[in-house]
Amino acid sequence: MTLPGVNATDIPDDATPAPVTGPAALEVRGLTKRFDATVAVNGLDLTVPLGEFYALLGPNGAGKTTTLRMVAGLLEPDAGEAFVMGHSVRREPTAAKRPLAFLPDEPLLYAKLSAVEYLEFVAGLWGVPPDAAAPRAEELLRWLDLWGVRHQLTETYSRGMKQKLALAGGLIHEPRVMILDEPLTGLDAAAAKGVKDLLVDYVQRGNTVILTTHIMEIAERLAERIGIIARGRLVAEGTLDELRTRSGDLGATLEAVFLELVEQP
Amino acid sequence: MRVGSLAWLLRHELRLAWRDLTANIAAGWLALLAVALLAGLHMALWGLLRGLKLDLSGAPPFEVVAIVGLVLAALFPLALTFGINRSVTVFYERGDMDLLASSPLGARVIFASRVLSVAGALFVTALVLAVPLAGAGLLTGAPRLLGAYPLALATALTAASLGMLVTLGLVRLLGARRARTASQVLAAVAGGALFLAAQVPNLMRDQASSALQRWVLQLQPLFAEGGALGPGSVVWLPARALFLDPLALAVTLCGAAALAWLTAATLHGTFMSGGRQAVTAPTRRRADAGGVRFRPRSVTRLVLLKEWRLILRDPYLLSQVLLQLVYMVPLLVVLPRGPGSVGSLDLTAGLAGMLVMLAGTLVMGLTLIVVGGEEAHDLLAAAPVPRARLERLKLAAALAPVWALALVPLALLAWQRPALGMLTAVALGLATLSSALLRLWNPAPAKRADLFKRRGRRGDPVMNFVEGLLPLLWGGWVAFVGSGAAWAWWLPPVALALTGAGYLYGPRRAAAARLLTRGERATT
Repeated sequence: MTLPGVNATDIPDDATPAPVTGPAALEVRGLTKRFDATVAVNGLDLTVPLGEFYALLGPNGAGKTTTLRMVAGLLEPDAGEAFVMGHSVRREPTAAKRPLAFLPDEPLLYAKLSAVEYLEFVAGLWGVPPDAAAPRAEELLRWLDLWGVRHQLTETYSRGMKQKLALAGGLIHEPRVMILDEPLTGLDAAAAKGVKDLLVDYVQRGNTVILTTHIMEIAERLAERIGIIARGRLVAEGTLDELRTRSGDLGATLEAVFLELVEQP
Repeated sequence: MRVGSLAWLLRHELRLAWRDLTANIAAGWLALLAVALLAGLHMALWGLLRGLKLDLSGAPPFEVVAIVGLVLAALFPLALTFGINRSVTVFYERGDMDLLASSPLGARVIFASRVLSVAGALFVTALVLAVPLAGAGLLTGAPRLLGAYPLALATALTAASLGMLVTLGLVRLLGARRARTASQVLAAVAGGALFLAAQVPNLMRDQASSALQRWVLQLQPLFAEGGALGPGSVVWLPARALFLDPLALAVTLCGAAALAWLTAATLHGTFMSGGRQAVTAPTRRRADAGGVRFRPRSVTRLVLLKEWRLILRDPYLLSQVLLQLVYMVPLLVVLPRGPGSVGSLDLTAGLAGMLVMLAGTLVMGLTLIVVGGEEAHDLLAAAPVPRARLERLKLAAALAPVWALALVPLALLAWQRPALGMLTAVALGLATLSSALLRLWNPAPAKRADLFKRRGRRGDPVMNFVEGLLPLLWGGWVAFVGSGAAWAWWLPPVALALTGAGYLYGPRRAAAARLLTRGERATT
């Protein structure tokens, strides 16, 4: 399954990932967030170059979601900064948000809008001209199997359908960077496979995907680089092989490596 | 108590009902309030019974029965409204029907426990009247009034059953999803109607009594011996039951119990099938033909369109907003007459002040929906549109319809009295703006369905109070200044100062709330 219409215009389709010049897709420096007494994110540094598939792994409460929410401009950091495509999220929020799509784990839609109306609204927020947005909405709705229900209010949708519509909303403005929080929760096997294919295809076209997940298999199979986050800090980062080397067990599964790295004090 | 039995389930139901009741008030205060209320009613009824000097040693005279019957008939809609309200709560709002239906308990047990729990809540409420009535009866030597207890029980069972039948009848008629909305709207409308009915004596203080007397005289043949409502008619049985008439008591209680049993036994199927439909039934289906076409729209128009669509497609929310207006009607009665100490008010100026108050309240309700009820907060926060612009647009979405609605009355007013029209227009603008801003600075994010419930309505209590006060201040300004009372020029500075204080006090709270909820609005 290939993704309709997503194209990073400045990278030819047959290009092998070129050495990165210009700004990284995402750069995070010293990001810190406290909630009352607990430190959710503690001076986190992270760089994800353009065109990479990056997975953020971590136990519950490690600070993954908090980090992503600060990157997407949903949460003000106490210290540190995040840059999306070189634009500071704090100082130039509009420029930083324009190339970015953020999909929270819980699909938040408007119960009393239809799928078409929802997509029109999202496209309008990102300033996509209607002539470009309408055919793209049709492609996405057909591709995600929502065409038959496109005029129904989203309150009648199942959870999987809602998730697919939220995904369509993320893709309608052709973002260069996609941030997904647990994107596969609640999807059936076929839909999950479809989304995985979509994300891989999307990265191959020169775009960037950053996702959090609990499912090791996704990180292991899809991600080019894996970051492991624990207690609000990045404790390890690298390809699967690099992480194995670090843990000293070259035959280890990601699960074993993960558990070992996370348990280090 | 056997686990899974009707009694066991009923205990669970009653515990939840008790929690509903004590959600807003500590049990101690509730007890104190109940004791005070009961004592007060005891005194009042005792005085009334002594004054009436009724002879209740034997069966009461028909006139007494007829008056009691009419009072009961007037009170029953109140009980029915309460029954519908509770039915909506236990079936739709508590959200545990799926859990119960998937358990191995019999559907009949589930349904019977629901009927009985609603009846139980109604019975407790009816006791507020029954206890003092019976007590005052004992004190004045009329123990026959102990019939108030069984009568309260029968009333509770009947109102609970009928309330459920109405609610479930709507399910059969409209399907579960729309029935839920319809019964919520119905309960709201019934509540509003009752509130209005209670104002009727106020509204018709003077002219009405003579007309009423003529009307009653015309009806008299109905009440004569052998008439449809004569002394032998069955309609008086509940009234006779109040006086411990054995036959009437037996018939009333058995009738109520039979109705409750029938409700439980025959209608569980309706709900069970309707309840499952709720998840899958599509609400609207337009023609599937045709591709997607988006019209060129600016962000401004898109946001306004989205907010208005969401409000117009939610009849329940609309009914709640309008209900807020109904609660202002008593002011309509009091205001034109004017409280004695400040002298009487000019009628036109009073109505102009009323218009300002209504507009302010309406804007407040709409702002509560567009700001507090935002469903995709993360989407808006992640969009490359400045937050301040989105907030301005949301306020515009709440203000524009109210201004449009106010245009016609304002024009009429300006035509009649230009100076008053100008004053009203200025006050209306300021009142709506300050109401909208205050709501924005006092966010109380909640699920849309919970927005107008007292428990859903969080936010800062001080801000909530000021918010309720503002429309009164602005409206009072117009009403009193329009009537030539110069002191009322003090009101606008006070209102502006309160708005300013809200700005200084509110935004910090708003920011704190945003950080604490971490945007997880829909789930909290």
